[in-house]
Amino acid sequence: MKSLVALYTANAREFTRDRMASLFTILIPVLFAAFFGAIFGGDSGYKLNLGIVLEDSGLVGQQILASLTSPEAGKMLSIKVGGRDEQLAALGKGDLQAVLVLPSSLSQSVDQKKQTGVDVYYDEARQSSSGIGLGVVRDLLAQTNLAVQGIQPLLVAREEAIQTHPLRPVDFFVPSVLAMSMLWLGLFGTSLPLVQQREQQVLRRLSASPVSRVTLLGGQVCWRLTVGMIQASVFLVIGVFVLGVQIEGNWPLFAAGSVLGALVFISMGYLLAGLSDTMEGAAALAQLVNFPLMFLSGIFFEPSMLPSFLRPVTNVMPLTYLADLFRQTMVGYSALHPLWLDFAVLAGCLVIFVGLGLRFFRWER
Amino acid sequence: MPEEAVLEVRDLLKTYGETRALDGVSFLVQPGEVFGMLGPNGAGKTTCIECIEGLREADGGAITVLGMKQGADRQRIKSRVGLQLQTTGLFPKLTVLELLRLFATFYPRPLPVSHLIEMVDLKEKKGTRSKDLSGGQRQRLSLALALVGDPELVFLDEPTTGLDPQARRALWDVVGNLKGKGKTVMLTTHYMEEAEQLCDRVAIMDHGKLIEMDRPSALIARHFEEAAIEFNASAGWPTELVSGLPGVKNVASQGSRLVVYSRDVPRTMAALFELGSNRGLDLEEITVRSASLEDVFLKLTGRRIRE
Repeated sequence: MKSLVALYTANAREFTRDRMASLFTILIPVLFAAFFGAIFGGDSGYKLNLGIVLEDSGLVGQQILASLTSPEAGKMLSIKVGGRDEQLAALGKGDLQAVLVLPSSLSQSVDQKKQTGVDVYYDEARQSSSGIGLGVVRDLLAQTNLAVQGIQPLLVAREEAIQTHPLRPVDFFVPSVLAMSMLWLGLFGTSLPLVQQREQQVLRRLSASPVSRVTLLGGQVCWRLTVGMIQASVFLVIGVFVLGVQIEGNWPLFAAGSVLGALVFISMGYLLAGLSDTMEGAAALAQLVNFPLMFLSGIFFEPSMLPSFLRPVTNVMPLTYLADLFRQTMVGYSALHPLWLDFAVLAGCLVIFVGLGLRFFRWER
Repeated sequence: MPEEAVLEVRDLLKTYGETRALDGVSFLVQPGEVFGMLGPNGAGKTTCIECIEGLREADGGAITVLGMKQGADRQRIKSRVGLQLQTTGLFPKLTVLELLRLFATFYPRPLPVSHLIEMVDLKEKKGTRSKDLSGGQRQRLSLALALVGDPELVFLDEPTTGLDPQARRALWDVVGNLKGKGKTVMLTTHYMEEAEQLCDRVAIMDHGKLIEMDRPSALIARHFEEAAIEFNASAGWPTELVSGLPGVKNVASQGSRLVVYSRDVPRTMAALFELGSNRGLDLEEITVRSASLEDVFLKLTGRRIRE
């Protein structure tokens, strides 16, 4: 027991004095979560910049403008009124996504029930934003058509989000990146240090001492499990107090998931260390594992955004299940898989990694 | 009265592919003895000592350490012996003090850490991380780690290889201390002067076999009643003629140097000078010395130990 505590402390000191290990397991993941949350999120949300050229002095032009600047439309649109040349220049620079010209003949034509053209300018090179702009303008014109003809719309879409509380991108990224940080605990916090200690013959010297190998492994694993718990707590605290993540979690399941997730990736680290002969090999292997897991596990985007032939791949990535587990138990994000399946897959991975890890682990070169 | 041997090795065998690293090695080490295993690199010293320590599995033979069978009692043996490996891997970011305290928890009755630090003279370095130690300090730390469990038997595998002469002497002092305390030490080395200085008995190993074993002085006396005259023979000294000179017992060539073993140094020297002036050959860099373990080794194996 005394040896176990001493080995735990030794591993902790070695780990915390190694800047790379602390950097990769805690600091960089936190920055990742904050960074992606900021890029894709924030409170303002996405707004379409629409330019209006109001040449019509009549009632219809005023009505359209009023409906565009209503608080309801203001959530989506940012309206700028100005002269035609000025607006087209702004469109060319990319400051506006579309320009709508309300011609001087507009009110008159409407009064006379004559069809009239409304010019819409957009930048063809900016497909997605101008596509949204065109859609908004068409929708607007359709509504105006009905209104000026005095027709009551019979079918009205009642929009209701199925989330019980609104989720922002940062609510998605914080639990996802926590899962990634546990992957990194396995790769950069377990596999690489172990291979290094094997190369430097630290493991050999320890195993030559009378302390049992179970105790040696116990000290290493217990410390790394602690790192996993630190990761979970740090993400929780920073998520809530710095990034303002809405926590609506299931604490016992989140805690159990953290322990299980950390153990899965720590044991994967042992397996990878056993499969690598040299430090260089271990680093290459870590990257080989890191990239597919990072990008095909729904950490940075949901799997539904991947091309269809890649989607089955996400289902064999253990990280997919851990990220899903954290999203569900930490912020109540919609489930990719049922929670029991997440736990079952991770437990299965743990059994496989521990089995293979013991088979391939080596104390010396 | 013969005490029970601390270490008993019988017919040790170990092969790596085609190579016989250990080819029937047998010896006994008595309590309180400093036993040295001498041999060139690749002779099998490390393989031998690591089989005895239980770090490697021998292919055949029997090893008894402190009355316990190596293999079956590996774990019990480990807690009663101390060992210094040829390259000691230490947590690089832990300090001297932290490493000693860590290893102290591995043994049932460890020595006080402060006492060990004193013993290997690392008091000023106790707060230094192991990666920042010099080669000599590192070696002394690894010796302290070997001694932390207060072992009855200590194994040192090339404890002074790669150290400067001063650091080597500091380490010899520590080993001398151990001997003074009645500990048994088995060490390997390829430094002749180290073996002569430290060891009560040495075994000379070559190609996985022990070719001689005795006290250093007895080995020298057995193989040489003569002194050695050494000089630079690159000018073209004819070996056959030199070996026929008066008093010469044997001639050995070591690279560009010729070693002439003589029972009568004045007569041999006179004859050498005469031969030289007749042939127009110079006697460059000539030295005369008494025979050493190095000469025994050269005689037995036909090569210098550090080739």
